[in-house]
Amino acid sequence: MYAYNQVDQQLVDERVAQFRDQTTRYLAGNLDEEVFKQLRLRNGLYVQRHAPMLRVAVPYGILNSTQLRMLANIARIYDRGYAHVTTRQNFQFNWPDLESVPDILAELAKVQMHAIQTSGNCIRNVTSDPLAGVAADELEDPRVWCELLRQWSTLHPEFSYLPRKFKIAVTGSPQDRVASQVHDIGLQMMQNEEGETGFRILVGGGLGRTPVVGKLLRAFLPRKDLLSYLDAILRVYNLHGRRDNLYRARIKILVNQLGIDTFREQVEAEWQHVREGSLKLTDDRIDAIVNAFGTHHYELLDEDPGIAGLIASNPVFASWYRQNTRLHKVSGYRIVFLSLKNHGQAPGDISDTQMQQVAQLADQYSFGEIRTTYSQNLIFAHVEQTQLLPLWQALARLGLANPNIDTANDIICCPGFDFCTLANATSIDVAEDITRRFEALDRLFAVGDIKINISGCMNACGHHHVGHIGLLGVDKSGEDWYQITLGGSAGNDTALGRILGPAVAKQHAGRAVEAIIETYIELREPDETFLETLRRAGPKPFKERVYDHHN
Amino acid sequence: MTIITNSFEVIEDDWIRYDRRRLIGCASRVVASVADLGKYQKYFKRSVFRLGVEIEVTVAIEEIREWLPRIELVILNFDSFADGRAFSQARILRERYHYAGDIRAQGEVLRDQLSFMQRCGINQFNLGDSEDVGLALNSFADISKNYQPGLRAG
Repeated sequence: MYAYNQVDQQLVDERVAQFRDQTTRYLAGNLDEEVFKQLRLRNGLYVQRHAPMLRVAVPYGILNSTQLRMLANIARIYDRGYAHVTTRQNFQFNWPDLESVPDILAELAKVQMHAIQTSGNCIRNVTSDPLAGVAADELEDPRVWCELLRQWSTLHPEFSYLPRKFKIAVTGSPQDRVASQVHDIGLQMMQNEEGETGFRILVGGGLGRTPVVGKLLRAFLPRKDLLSYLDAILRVYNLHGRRDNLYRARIKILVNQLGIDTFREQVEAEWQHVREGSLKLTDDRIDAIVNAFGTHHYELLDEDPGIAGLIASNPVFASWYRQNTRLHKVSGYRIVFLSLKNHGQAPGDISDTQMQQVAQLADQYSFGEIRTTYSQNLIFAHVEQTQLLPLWQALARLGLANPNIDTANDIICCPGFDFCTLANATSIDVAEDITRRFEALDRLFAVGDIKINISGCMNACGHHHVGHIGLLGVDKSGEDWYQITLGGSAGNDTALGRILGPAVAKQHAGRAVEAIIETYIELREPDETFLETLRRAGPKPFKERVYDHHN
Repeated sequence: MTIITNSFEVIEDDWIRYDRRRLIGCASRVVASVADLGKYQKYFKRSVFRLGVEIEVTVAIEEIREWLPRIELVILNFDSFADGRAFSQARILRERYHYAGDIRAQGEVLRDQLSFMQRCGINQFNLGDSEDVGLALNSFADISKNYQPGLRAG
């Protein structure tokens, strides 16, 4: 993975010292509340329902074992013994003291980590494909481009006080695993007819109160122009995005108001001024980043013939293998998912001891590297096939081998009312209710792949709009109710779910989801996915089942 | 009111605001609004005093383009420190129009933002009365490295 040079390190160290000074001034009453709020947000620090929340950047979702050990230490010393993995591949701590945050940031800086721009109205941590570099279908490793973007966007003097937050996702594969169509900017690597590599650029996607699928801004941009083109987009947004209304300030609103064609004209006009400037990338600059990543030294291995026997003889291993591992582009290796979706635990939560043990296992089995995913799980990306059995046994002991990746139990979920000041309703207990209904593995596997996403409010941190089944928590006279949407997707076929009918009360929410899934199972043709069945049969049978049932 | 520069000086504000009822000597330094420049175009074009302009965040630099060769000071307004439009205005002045005169930030000018301002091409900072001058000057050194090919204004 990318190793800091002296400039990277010094910048992060100085940023810690700067924030320490700002915190000291605030605590001494010498810094205005509103000013400190904006400064702390740009260092990842929110004030939540019970305590501050610190969001630590995991650039494009990749950690080394030393970094994970540090996160474990922080969870133990400064928090309550756990951390939370977010849909944007970051780590969150829910219980630090405001006074200790500069110390936490100083600890993070020791292992080349930071919380810069993980919140606030600025360019956020760039997310990427959790299978970057190992996916068989990949065109080019997107992480090099993510790192270039990390550097370009970090403490950008012009774009640190935007109208609203700004999220960028990059995919290097035709298979979209980063939800690129629901980001402010989605970058999809592709080749043009001449075989040149570049980017297809989407703009104005996003969830929240006004969910929008990103629109095509440019069909092909040569890769050397990436930074100057993004500078042009950001400048148009910075100057013309609305600042008078928090809910109308994202770039998607500007794009919708101007229309994509007018927006494109403005960006192209701006770009003509900057495209040949200092942001134009050179091969040397790109190569320097590639080299800073280093390479993994894979053994020359054949596909392991022993796997077939294991699968045949050990059905528990077999279901884990089928559900939680994926094809690796290097022969003899396998990609392994570590499920953070377990009973009695909020989706995406991981304890300090689990982090400690996962770091150990990563050293032993996966080049000391750990990845975080959009669906709030972890990945070991480079496991030798012959090591799968001992790794599986070790993960099972840690409670991280639930064979539920991409199933009804792999729920994307925000922290909800239990932690978040914005939330209208809880989300974690509803996820738990659904999980309990599909506890039996036979039942879980019979359903197959399905995405259930839960948000505790319309800010949509749980991405309910793009769940095959989405639940949105709403407050009705002080009680938690849930609006159900069907048909969303965050993949290549990105779509926003449609509301099924009236919201349901909390005690019926889990049963409603179960009824929807039962309806799917009854209606589906062989090999038909949930979305295919829904599109063929329409929402009516689902609706009847849900609302009949609890009347 | 204290104005500091990116060369670590504290300077006097020797610019007066344009007032059509006031007599202006030929050695004066006068700051006009964009509206004034439009309204009294001929007058300002004939005048020989030193000219500056104060612009709001909503003004496109294109609108004052023709005046730039004549102008020695552009005052940018940070009505709110959270409104980042003036950062773009500064960069456009320097990079697109190669404006080489002074650019001054006024309004909510926080010491925590001075280095961002400087890197966008602003070289004078009106701190008002809220910031300690010594601490503000020190803040330029808070972050000594940056990734963006920036500007050293002036």
